[in-house]
Amino acid sequence: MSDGWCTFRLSRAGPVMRQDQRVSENLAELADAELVDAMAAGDTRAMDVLYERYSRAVFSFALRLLGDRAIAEELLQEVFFRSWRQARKFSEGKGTFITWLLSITHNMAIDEIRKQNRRPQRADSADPVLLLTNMTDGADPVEDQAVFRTVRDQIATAMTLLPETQRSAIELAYFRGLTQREIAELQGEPLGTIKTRMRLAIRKLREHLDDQGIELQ
Amino acid sequence: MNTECTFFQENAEAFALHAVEGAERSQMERHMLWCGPCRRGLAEVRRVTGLLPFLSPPALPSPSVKARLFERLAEETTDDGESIATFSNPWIRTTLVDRPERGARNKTQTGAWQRWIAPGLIAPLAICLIVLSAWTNSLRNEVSMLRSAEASRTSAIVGAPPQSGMQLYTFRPACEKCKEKQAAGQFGGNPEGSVGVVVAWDLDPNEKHQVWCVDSQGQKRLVSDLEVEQTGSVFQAVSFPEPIGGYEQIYVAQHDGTADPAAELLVAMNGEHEVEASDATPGNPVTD
Repeated sequence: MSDGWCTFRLSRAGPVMRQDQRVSENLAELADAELVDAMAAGDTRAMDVLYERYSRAVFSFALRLLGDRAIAEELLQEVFFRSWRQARKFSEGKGTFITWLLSITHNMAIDEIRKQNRRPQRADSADPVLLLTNMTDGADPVEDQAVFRTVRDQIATAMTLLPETQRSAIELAYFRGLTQREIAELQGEPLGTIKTRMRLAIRKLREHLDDQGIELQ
Repeated sequence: MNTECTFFQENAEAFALHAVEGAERSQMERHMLWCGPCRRGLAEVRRVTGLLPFLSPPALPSPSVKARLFERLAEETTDDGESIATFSNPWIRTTLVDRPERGARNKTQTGAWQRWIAPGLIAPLAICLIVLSAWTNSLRNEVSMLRSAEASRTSAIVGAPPQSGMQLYTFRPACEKCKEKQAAGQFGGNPEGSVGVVVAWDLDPNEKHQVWCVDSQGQKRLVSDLEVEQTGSVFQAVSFPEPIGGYEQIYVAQHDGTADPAAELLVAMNGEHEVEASDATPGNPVTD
């Protein structure tokens, strides 16, 4: 940033609610895109349905990132609040609603982690790779939603197929908020090596998931 | 294929994992705006990274989260369904939306000290509320006047009923100095109209601030100087030469809006070109 120059980024803060919007009485049967449209029109019932569908996935992810229930719950609330305000901007053709929510969650959580230089409690684990590989052991009593359970099982399986160094690169970057340079410093490896590990890891995951036909619809 | 594309492709996976920051991230975000092949390549990577959240062990949030969420939604909606509160009181909204940790504190911490100290705060708080209410009404009236004037003008031009599609945008500081000062602000306007309102605070009153835009041809144009009060606050109507929604970007800059340091990314208002500085799903906005 050069001295004496500053720019404020602009982002849309939210939809303007309108009255007299008619939506189906059977909201729970509507597709996400229809519910988002209703939400953009100011229908809180649509938000209710979407919250019931996805709050668990968002909260689980937030808790995984932040390692603190109270903060994760605040983040959950904020993510859905922002989705409400930005509903009009959501475009189904460019991603599913849940990936959009999770993207917001990730952005906010990583910002929070970096801002406070705080790491999830589990970051103290000697082997972060174990955090990923041990996730499907059913230790958590909360019942998983079926549609996500398949995805979760497949991505977890795919992760176990990766070499440890590649899994570690993903874990440190995606779940612990480290930049690739920080990872290189932490592991005493050249930056190029970290980039290569990430690239190979994503490529292998994609191949496995494509083979299994796994994709969020 | 050029050196920018090469750099982008070398770092696409790290970018999707949120492991690229600062100037490099800004450079890649800007590159995406015009390079379709790289944008599509990143979308392929995100098909995978978008599944990583599901590695998280399932957990249930407290029911109180939903209750608090709907309380906030109720605050957003007035009797006639218009979201006036967010526009008329940007300070409060920013506190809630942009600084969730502070909102969280207000919502969740109910300690004994509050029971003892609260009575002593009631009187000054009441005075503050009265002043705030008056100020809010003032803002609301001014916005209503602007909207009415703009709607009338639009109606006169196109011969159709006025649109009520007021949109609200949030300024976020991009440079370290502004981040330290927690400078922020909001911009509101009808995308089909050419008048908007800039509200900002904690700007440096000793610096010159200007509103700039990038038109559909990619040309940067100065729109207006901003009058920054000594307190660092701004409340100013800004008239654009063309409808607001037609611009690729609108931004506030100090000194020289044509400068284009690599560290900056200006988020477009136009949905077709909108890419957030954060790691959002392409095309979908995320306020970070």
